[in-house]
Amino acid sequence: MNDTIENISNYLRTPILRLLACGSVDDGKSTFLGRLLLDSGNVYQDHLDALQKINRKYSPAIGEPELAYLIDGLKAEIEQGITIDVSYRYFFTRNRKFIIADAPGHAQFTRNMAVAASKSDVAVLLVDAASGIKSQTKRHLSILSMMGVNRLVIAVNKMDLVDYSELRFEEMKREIVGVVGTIYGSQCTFWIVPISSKVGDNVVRKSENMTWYDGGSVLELLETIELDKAQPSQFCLPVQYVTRDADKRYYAGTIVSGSVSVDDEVIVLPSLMKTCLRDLAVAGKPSGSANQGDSVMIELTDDIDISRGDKLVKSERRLMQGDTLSCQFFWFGEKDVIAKDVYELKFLSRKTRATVKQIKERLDLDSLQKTPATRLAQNEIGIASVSLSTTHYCLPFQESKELGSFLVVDIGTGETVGLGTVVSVEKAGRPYPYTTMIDKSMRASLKNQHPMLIWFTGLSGAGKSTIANLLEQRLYDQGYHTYLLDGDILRNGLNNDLGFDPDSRKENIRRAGEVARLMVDAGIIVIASFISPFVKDRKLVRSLFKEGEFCEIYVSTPLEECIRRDPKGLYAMALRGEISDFTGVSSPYEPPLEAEITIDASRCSVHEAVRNILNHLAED
Amino acid sequence: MNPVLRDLENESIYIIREAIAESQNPVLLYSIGKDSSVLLHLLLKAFYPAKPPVPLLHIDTTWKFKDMIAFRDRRARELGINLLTYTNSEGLRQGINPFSTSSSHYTAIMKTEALKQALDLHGFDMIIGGARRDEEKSRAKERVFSVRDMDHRWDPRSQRPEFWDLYNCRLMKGQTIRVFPLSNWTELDVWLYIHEEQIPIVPLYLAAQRPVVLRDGMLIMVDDDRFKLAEDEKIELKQVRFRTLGCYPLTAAIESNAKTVSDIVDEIFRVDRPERAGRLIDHDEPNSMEEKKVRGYF
Repeated sequence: MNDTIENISNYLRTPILRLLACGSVDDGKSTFLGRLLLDSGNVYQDHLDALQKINRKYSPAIGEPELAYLIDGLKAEIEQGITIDVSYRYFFTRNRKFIIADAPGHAQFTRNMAVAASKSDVAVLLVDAASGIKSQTKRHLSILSMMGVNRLVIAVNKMDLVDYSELRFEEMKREIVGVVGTIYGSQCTFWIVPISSKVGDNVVRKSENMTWYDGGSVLELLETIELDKAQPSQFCLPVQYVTRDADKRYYAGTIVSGSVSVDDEVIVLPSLMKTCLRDLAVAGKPSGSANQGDSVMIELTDDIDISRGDKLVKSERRLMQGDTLSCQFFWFGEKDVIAKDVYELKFLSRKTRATVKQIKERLDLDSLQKTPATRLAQNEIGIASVSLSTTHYCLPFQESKELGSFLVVDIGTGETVGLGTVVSVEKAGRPYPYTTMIDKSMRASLKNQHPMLIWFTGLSGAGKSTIANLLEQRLYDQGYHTYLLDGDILRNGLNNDLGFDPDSRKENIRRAGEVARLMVDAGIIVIASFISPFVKDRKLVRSLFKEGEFCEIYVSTPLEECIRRDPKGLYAMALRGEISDFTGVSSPYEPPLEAEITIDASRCSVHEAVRNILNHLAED
Repeated sequence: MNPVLRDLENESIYIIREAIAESQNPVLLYSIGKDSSVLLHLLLKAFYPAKPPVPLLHIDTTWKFKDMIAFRDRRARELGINLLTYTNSEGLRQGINPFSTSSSHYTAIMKTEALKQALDLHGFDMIIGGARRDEEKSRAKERVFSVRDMDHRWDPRSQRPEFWDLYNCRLMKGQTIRVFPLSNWTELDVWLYIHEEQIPIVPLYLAAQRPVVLRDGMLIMVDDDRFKLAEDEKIELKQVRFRTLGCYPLTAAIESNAKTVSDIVDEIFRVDRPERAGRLIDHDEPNSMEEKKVRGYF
C-alpha cells in the first residue's frame, strides 16, 4: 500500500456519515452548504468558473459567485431561484466521507423532508440568529423526530448580523433546548453551534469573532460523530431474490438484524417451516457466518417453498404477526386518502394489497396536536388503520426502521402516494393454515406448469363462457392441466342454496374464489367465468392469491350487444320485469379498474380473443 | 473491508438484486469504463455462486478506443456472460461521426437514439447503469430507481420519492426504469474499490506514452487512421492517461504519471478539476447534461 492510501486511512476507517441539511426559507441553508464545500476544499476550480458564467446569465447584478448556486442544480431551479427537489452532495475530508441530502424548504415540504431524513444519521438544522426560531423550524423537527433522526447539529446562523453576541446566542440556545425537548423528549443528542455562513465562522474553521464559544465547528462535529453500533438482536433476513444454479436453490438478501452461521436452524415466515443453513456467501465470498448489514446468499438443507418477501428468522416470536396494522401515514398523493381506498403496500422485498380501514387522526405540525380526522390530504401526516390482504410479519418503526416502514403505491397510476410507519398490530392475522410435506410448487412442478386462476368477468351474454371454453381447449391441447369453473355449474351444486340478492352474489363469488384457491394449490390452472358484477367481491378473490397467480379478464361487450345476442332469453325476461336483480337491467355492473386484460367480444372473434390471452399469459 | 467501501458495496448489491427481482426483462448497460467495471464486479458478487441472470448491453458508436473494445470482448468471454451490442446503423449510413458532426448532434444520434432503439428492440424494462450522482449536478437530483416514459424521457419535476431501501418498481404501460446502483459512489470511492478488489480496468486509465494531438486546448489521442490532422496540427508522444473513457475523438487525455491504481488515488487527492471536464459533450452549453437526460441520454 502506498503513502496516499495510508494517508487517507482515517477516511476509510470511519463509517460514512449521511446527513441532511434543512432550514426555513431565509435561514441560509444553501449558503451554508456552499460554504461547507468551499472551505473544506470540495469545490473544483472549473465549477467556480462555470458558476460565474451562470451568474452572469441569470442574475447579472451579482458580482461575486453566490455560494448558494453551488448547491442548486437544476435549470428550472436556477431560473426561479428555488430548490424543487432533494439533491445529493458528496464531499470528503481526510477524516470522513459525507453524503448530504439537501431538502428544499417550501414546495412539497413534507415529502422532501421525509425523503432527505429517511437515510440520514444526522440533521444539520439552520436557524437565523436575528429572527429566531420560526414555526417551520418546529415542523422540520417534528418530521425529523417521526423519521427517527435522533442526532442534530443546530447551527445558529447569521451571527455576524447580531454582532457575534454571546448574549443573543445564549438566548437562542435556551429557546432551542426547550423546543427540542418538547418534540423529542429525551430521545435526541444535539449540539448547538453559533455560525456565519457568509463570513465562514465555525462552519469549517473555528471563528475568531466568537472566542467565547469553546465547542467545535460544524465540520469538526460532523467528522467525529459516532454512529450506533449494531445492537445484538435476533436474526432476521427478508428474502430478496431466489435463484437457481445447477439444481441448487439460493436465497439472496441483506440481513436486517442479528447474525447467522452455517448449520444454524432457521424458521421460514410465514410458513413456519424449519430448516438449516447449509452454506453461506457474504458479498460474493464463501463465509462461515454473517452479520447485520451483510449481503448474503444462502443455501438451505431442505428444498422447501420459499419466495421473495418471506423472512428467515431464528425465532418467530421476535416479530409481530398481523393482518391489520395501525400506522402513521405521510401522505403525498394529490388525491386524499380515505377509508375503503385500496393500495399496494411495499415493505422490504414484499408487496401486498391493503384496504384503508379507517383514518383516525391528523397531526397538526404547528401545534403538534392530534385531531380526529376522516381523510388526509397531500403533505398531511396522520394515523390510520390498514387491513392487509395477507398476514404480515413486522416490527414497530420505533424498534426497526427496516421492518416497520412501507411505501403506499397507487395501483392505477403506479405512483408512490404515501409513506407508512408501523405503530402497532391491531389484529393478528389468520395463522398460516397448514404446512404439508408436499406443497404447491412441488405439485406444480410435477405438472410442469404455473398454477393460476384466470377470472372472467362481464355481463351475461358478453361471451365469457365461449372464450373460456376455447381457452381451456387450447391450454389442454398444449398439455396443461386445467379446470373450468363455471358460475352456472356451481349454482347447480355447491351454491344451490344461494339466490341473486347482493349478499348471495357476494357469497357465490367468495365460495368460487375459495374453490379456485384449493385447485390452484393443487397445481391446476383454473379458468373461472362469473358475471361477478361488484368490484369489492372481485378484489376479495384477488386477495386470496399471490401476485402472478391471478389474472382478471374483463369481457367488455356493450350492454346493447348483449341484449341483442341474449342467448338464454334472460334479458327479454328481465326487461319484461319477470326476473329481478338482473345485472345490467335491474342490478348494476361495476367494470374493473385493474383488469389484466380487457376484451370487447363485439369487436373481435373468439379466436382472436383467445390468442390475446395466450400471448399475455406467455409474457408473464 | 473498511467500513466506507463495505457500506457502498452492500447498498449497491441490494439495489442490483432489487432491480432484477422486480424486473421482467432486465439489462445491465455496460460502457466498458471504470464505473461499468465496478458495476459488473458488484453484479457478479450479488449472485455468487449463481451466474447473474442478466445480459450486458453495449451501445457501440464504432468510435470507442480500440483498447476498450478488446477489453469488452475479453471480459465477456472470461465471465461467460451474454454480451449484446448495438449500433445505430441508420446514423452510420448518414455518415454521422464525431469529427464533422457537432458533438451534441453526434451524441443525440449515435448514443441517445441508439440506446432508445436498442431498449425498444429488446423490450428491456429495467436498465441498470453505472452513473454516479457526484458526476454532474443534474444527476445529483436523480433517483436510484428513475422512471422513464415511453419515449425514454426523464421528467425531473415528477420523480417518485424514495425512502430508506424501499423502491417502488411498479411500471405502467410503456414505462421503463433506469437503475443506478452506484449513485452514492464518488470517483475516489470507485478507485479505492478497484484497488481493494483488484478489478480489471481498461489500460487507458493508466499513464503511458501515447500519440496525441492538441486540439481546442484538449489532448486528443490518435487511435486510428480516421483521425485527420489539420494543417497546423502534429502528433506528439506524451505521457497521458484518461479519467473517463468515451468516443476517442471526444475524450481528452490528461498528462499524468499515474501508472498504477494507487497513483491514481494519489492524483485525485490533488486535482482541482472534475472528471467529466475531459468529456466534450458535457460542455455544449450550461446545463447540457440535464437537457440530454430529459431527452433520454443515460
